[in-house]
Amino acid sequence: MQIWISSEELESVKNQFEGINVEEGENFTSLTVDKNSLLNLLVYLKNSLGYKHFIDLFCIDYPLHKPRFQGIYILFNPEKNRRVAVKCWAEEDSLPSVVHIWKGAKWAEREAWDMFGVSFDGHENLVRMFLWEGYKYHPLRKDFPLKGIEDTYLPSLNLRPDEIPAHNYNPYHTKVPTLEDIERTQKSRMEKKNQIVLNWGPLHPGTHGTIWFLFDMEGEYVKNCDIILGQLHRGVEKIAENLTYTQFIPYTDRMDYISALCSQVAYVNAVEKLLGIDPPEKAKYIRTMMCELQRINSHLLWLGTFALDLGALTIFLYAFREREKIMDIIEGIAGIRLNSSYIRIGGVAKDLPDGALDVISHFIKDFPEKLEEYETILTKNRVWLKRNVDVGIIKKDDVYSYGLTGVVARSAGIPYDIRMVQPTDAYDKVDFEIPLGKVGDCYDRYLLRMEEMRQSLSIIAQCVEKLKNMEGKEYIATDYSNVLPTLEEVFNSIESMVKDFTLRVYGEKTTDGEVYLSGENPRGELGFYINSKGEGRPYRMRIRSGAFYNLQIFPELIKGRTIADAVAILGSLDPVVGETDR
Amino acid sequence: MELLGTVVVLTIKSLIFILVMFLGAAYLTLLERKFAGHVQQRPGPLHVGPHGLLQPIADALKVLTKEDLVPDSVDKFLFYLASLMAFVPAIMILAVVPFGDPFTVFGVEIKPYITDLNIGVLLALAFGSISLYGVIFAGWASNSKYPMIGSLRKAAVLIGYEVALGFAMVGPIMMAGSFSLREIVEAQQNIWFIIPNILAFVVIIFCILAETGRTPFDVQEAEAELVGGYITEYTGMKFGLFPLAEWYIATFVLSAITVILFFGGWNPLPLMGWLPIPAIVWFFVKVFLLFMFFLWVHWTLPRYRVDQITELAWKVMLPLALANILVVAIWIMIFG
Amino acid sequence: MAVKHNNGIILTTVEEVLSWGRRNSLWPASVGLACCAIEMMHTAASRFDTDRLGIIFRGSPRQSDVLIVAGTVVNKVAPMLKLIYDQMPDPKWVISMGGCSSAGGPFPTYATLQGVDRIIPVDVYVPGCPPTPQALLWGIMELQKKIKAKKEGKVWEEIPVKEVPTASQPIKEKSPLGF
Repeated sequence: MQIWISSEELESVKNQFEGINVEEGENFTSLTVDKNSLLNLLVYLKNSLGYKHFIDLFCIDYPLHKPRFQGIYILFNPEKNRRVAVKCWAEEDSLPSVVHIWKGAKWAEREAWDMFGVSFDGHENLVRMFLWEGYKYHPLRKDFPLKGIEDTYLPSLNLRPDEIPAHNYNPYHTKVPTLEDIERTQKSRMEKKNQIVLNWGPLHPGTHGTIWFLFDMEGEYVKNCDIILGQLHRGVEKIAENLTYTQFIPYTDRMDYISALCSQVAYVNAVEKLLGIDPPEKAKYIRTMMCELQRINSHLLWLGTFALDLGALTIFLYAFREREKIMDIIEGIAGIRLNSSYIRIGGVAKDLPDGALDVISHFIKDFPEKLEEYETILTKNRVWLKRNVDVGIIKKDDVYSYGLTGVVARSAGIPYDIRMVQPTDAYDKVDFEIPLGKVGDCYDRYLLRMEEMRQSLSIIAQCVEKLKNMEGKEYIATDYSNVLPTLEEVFNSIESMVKDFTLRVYGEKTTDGEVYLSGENPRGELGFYINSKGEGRPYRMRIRSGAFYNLQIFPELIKGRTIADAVAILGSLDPVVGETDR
Repeated sequence: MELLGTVVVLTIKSLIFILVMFLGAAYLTLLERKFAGHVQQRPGPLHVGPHGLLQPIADALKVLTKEDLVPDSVDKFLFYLASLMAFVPAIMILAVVPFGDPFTVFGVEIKPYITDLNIGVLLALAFGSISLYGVIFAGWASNSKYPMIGSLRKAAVLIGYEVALGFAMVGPIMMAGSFSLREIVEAQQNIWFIIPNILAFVVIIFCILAETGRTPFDVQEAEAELVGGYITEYTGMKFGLFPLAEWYIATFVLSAITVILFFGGWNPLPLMGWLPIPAIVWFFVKVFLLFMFFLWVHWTLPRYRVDQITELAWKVMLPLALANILVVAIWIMIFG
Repeated sequence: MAVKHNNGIILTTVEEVLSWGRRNSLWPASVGLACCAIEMMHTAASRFDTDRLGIIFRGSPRQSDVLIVAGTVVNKVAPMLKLIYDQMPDPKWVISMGGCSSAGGPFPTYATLQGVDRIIPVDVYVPGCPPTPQALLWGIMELQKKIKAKKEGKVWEEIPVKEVPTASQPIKEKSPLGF
């Protein structure tokens, strides 16, 4: 299925602009343009060719190349379902800002500045995205070590003097900011113009993790708002450059920890495209089924916390009751409750255990009743309606401009669902519907997620039907040279043992190549851009986080509304900090 | 000599009231947690003492012996005063609330109330309004943003609902022709005042939920927005007084007043007067049921926004309370 | 009469009672940092229900007794976490939940704090990535034991690590199950 820009459009771009270098491929098609005509090209793509949905913007570091940094823009055409990537070398370490074309580029540009030190001309306030003001380095540059610069003496407070610490315990640590540094970071973001600036977070019960909100308020009304991220920035993209492809799978769990399986599937699919691996049929169905289970699980957590934020504590506990059941199912299949690391390159880690399908079918039978229960308490509840209807309305243009995806985009009536746009696994073989919103308010997003849970149930039911006839079939395609053999094979054949050994030590070797592939996470499009230089590890991995872009519209939505609406809007956007900060 | 006797009796009675109220309020926390547990399909406190019965004692011990931390930036005088201002008026309402008819034990007449003022209702309303100052002082003295917003919200809600509450109480007073709570109960021996006053009862339910800060009106300590509302900066015992006063004592006392005004106080249920149940038990059963109703609402509904609450107060509750007065007036004209 | 070592019967009893109150009413500050926070929420939810042990989550650190550090502590949030710890009134305890907060976990990077004990003292470390709710309950119960032992003037003994069979040191006796 062709997802990247078509040849006719490429021809028309070539005719319009001179000196464009086109790299065509099945997994990635990019136009390389020089800095002067970048803006013109982007405007042409947006206005004339219809590539108006902003997907991502990031940089790559090539220390030996001159100029050193390359910026990559990924755009999407919602009418034709086509993507295009635009590359541009950052001469003199700077690129023109595209915030006036797509508002969604604001944070992405900040992130590129933070991580690489690439400046963007025309950006309104180019400050650190994840790290704090006064941090001296740009950590994603190739010459910066993964461990950071350990220059601060910071020993453990728990070690007694006579105790000998572990062999690799280093009392020196990377720099921890002081409260003054943090305050400077806050000041650089937003100036106080009204009565009070309310700090909301980073450690606050209502912020779904460690997001830090600044509200400039006039009474109860928010006049201006900004968000400081990075309170969970763990350097996942940097870690990816230092690990083999298989080793990175557990980290995808810990990014979006609420929908671990979906993240794994999105990542593994991207790697499989890069390595040219086609997983067996059974693995595809298992993956689809697990993804949808995880989607229900994730939406239940969203429902619980959303209701909790709006004061209905009991729904939270009811939702968690159902979550426990799903987590038990996942634990039974994958072995771990939350961060399961179940998906492998080429298939899945284990075959389905006996009785797994029975448990799941029972759950499918049982769950609609519970869903009714939640809806009885909330959907027609006057208080619920008062808090949600016409709050936080997202318009269609905002979706394209901010690069919104997932439920947030669909609530505005835009049918952007990766499961339809670019079906992976068994999504093209199952039948499901994509609910769309009409108004784009919090209530629409609530209804949509409830409906999505029903759709997920139907997908699971279809997968279970298929899987019942696949007992004993192959669940991981170990014939490929880059797929780890199963434990049984390793114990029984010397070739597999050698293969296992090589893959674990040297990683999955492949040719040079680029791939961008995304998956429909419960929080939006989770895209993985992998740039391989033929080593066993990625040269650069970019993780396009749905929650990161979805959260960006929050300051726009909250302006002029009360602080009490902030919880409703934030809850309906449903960000997860592990994914926004990575 | 007679005066001294009265003083001694009153002192003893007050002490008993306060002690019972403290212990009762402590156990009301357990009741609430158990009730919430059953609503939410979990056991609630279970392992501290037999079936969690010692949980309030453990909580009280811990809260009492916690470090009494007063932040540097607070206004110390108001900071201390606020917790008392919130707690004392709530207890003082008890002075005018009767729990039953006078009865004799061993030849001594015992009145299960402290005083029977002929302006009892007014006094209860007045004390209820004073606790508002505690809230505002707490928010202001804490010198912090969440408490301040929380206390302002609470003040806005209270002002809206005090008015409606006052007007809602007019109906029963008109029918009884007295401000004394005891006389209001006595006037209900034949028919409870809920019959024509149903509108006022609805208003009063909303008002009590709003006054005591329970969902859907718990905007002042909406945890997701304001962490702890106006009590965010309070620690230890000073913190303990606020929820005790607001959630338990105030809810209890206001439930008692509602029972007195609308459900015939300690009069037995209709057609059940022949049962050998003392009046005081009837009274507490009714109060308990009403209290549980408030808990039930609290653990079920989401919360309103503060502007929606004040809107509800002024645009719906106040007209309803006024309409009730009209209904009662017509009732009195017809039935005398 | 001088009381030696403060172990007179009255004082001991009072201490005992206070310690009983404290360990049965541990209110954690609801601070969730990362994945572990989800499991912490599960621990508080219906199935595991920390309220059984008298544990209810408080929003404000001023009213909390125990800080459950649930998740990765990155450098940027470390000063704020320390601030939360400082805002809590004495006596206070810290449970480090999960590998990340105990020692950096799988994130040996420039941005992550390698162990929360570098900024605040920790009472109980709960292993796991993330620890299951059962593990967190175990941690809480260990903390209760610790509070009890401390108030009785005893030295808190760490739990001895059980001998685990490894390739180089296989366990000598056979277990009843025969492996």
